[in-house]
Amino acid sequence: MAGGDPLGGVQPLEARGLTKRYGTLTAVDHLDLVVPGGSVFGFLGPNGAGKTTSLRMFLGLIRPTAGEVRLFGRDPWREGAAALAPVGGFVETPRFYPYLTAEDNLTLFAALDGIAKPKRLIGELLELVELSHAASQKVGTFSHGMGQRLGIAAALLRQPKLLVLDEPTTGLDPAGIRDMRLLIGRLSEQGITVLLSSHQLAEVQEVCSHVAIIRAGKVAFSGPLEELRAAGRSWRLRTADNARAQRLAALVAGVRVVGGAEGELALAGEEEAVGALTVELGKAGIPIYRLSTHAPTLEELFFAFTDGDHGRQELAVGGGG
Amino acid sequence: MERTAVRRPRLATVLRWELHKLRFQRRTYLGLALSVLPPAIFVVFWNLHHGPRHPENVFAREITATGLATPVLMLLFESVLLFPIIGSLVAGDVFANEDANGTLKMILTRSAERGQIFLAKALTAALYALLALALATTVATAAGVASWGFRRVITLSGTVVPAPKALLLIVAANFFYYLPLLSLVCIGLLLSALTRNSAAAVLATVAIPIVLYIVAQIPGLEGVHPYLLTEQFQAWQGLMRTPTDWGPILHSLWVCALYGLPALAVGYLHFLRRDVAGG
Repeated sequence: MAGGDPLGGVQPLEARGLTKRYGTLTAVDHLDLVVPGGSVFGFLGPNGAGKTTSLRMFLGLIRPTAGEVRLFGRDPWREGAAALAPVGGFVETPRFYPYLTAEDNLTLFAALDGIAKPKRLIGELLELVELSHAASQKVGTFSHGMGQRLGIAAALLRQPKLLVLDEPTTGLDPAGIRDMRLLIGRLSEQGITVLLSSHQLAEVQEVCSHVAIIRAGKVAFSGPLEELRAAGRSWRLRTADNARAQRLAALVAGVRVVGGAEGELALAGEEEAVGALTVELGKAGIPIYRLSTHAPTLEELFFAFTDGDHGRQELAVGGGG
Repeated sequence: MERTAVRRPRLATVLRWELHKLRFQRRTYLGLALSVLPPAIFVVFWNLHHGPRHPENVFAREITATGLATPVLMLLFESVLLFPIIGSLVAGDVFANEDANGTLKMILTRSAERGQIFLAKALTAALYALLALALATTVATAAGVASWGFRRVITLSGTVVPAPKALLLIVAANFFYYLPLLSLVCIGLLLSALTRNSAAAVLATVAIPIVLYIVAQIPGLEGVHPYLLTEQFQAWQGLMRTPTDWGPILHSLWVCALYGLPALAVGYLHFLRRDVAGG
């Protein structure tokens, strides 16, 4: 999905050394992040990790204590609305004027975006998010899911090149979640870069090409999803004598024993190094019963990066091949 | 979908939508009702209880000598606390309400600059106070003239002013009352932006004139009286004298500026630089 560099070196979003402190509390700590053009970028982290604060800084709602954000090369805090021109989205639950109808709310936002004659566009967007039937309904009567969908419509009203979505599927029913995934896919195909903050790891795994995992205000990992998976890949080895095999593995360059459970050893290492270990096991006369790779799920990787050493240990021994 | 370019809207567009939002809020109508009810009730009550069958006193004679006395009398009473309350209802709410509803984050991520949003909201609060004042004066004038006629007025100096000129003086008096009211609106805007709490901002704005009235009663503080905002609420009475007493009016202009402009400037700068972390 992420294709080359369609923006000639200027990325949709770049954060360098981004820091936000509230007194003695550091909510975001020297965060470095690049969201490549055309990507669907998953922004992950546990509650309190600094995700929302980061998103607010990305959108110029909060002034960074240090560092900077660039949206297509422009600083949203210093340049304000001009920097936000190619960006649409929302942070946390999208909110609207409850006493205005859905259509009026969107018309208001269109007016604030300087969009002339937005009626047709609003009609199309309400249809896209399946709210045409509620166009004349006051937003105060909307369910949470309807509010989320209206939030998407409000974000798309700007026809953004970068779409920032914070937990967009919260409150949606399974069909709504499926539709949201399809919509994100379609938008990505149209060349829109999507920054998706989500707790739904299955959703991220399905739609995202890149991910960043933040923990305690810092980036624990950032890069293509495949790279993350490769980084977390391990081997499972079962032999006739695991104790001897473990001692032997320690002698083979490039192989690390990272754990063991249920009669198996968990190994980390490149294919060639593990291959060399199998040769050594053969020479030592230790039969190999089973050797397999273990590709962790995004959930395992998420906990590995956000639970610290304990999580990494879990990642190494978890799964089961 | 056709691609639509977003661009910075005009201030007039932002203002139009701020006024549109005001139309749907109950406090808007509460304030307007508060402004027109006293003159309406006064005229009805007077006609019922002080008609031709009732004995007249000096006050009654002055009040009913011309319908144009009614708006002056109403301004005298409403200017003390009622208009400050009405002005505070919107000024104290206009930013805090957006904070509480979480809509501030939504409008600040559109193409309107923060400065535009601030100015549109400030203009909305100022226009609302003006509307309340104009509505009260219109109702008082219409009801008064309907009851007691469009006749000459006797000024506070005892001179007689023809009805058309008296009408102009009433408009001018309202204008010169509007200036200190506007200063209070500016303070309300500041408190609304600072506190992010609608009730707190409205109550704090209303508390300011109350505190100043109390200060005015403290013995030994007579020297500060000319500089109290509440004193400026009565400066318009200089127009009701012959010759016009411009002294308190001109004094009021710069005292009001001293209260209003810094509050507006601090509110503006705070709004430009503040974090929008709620909602």
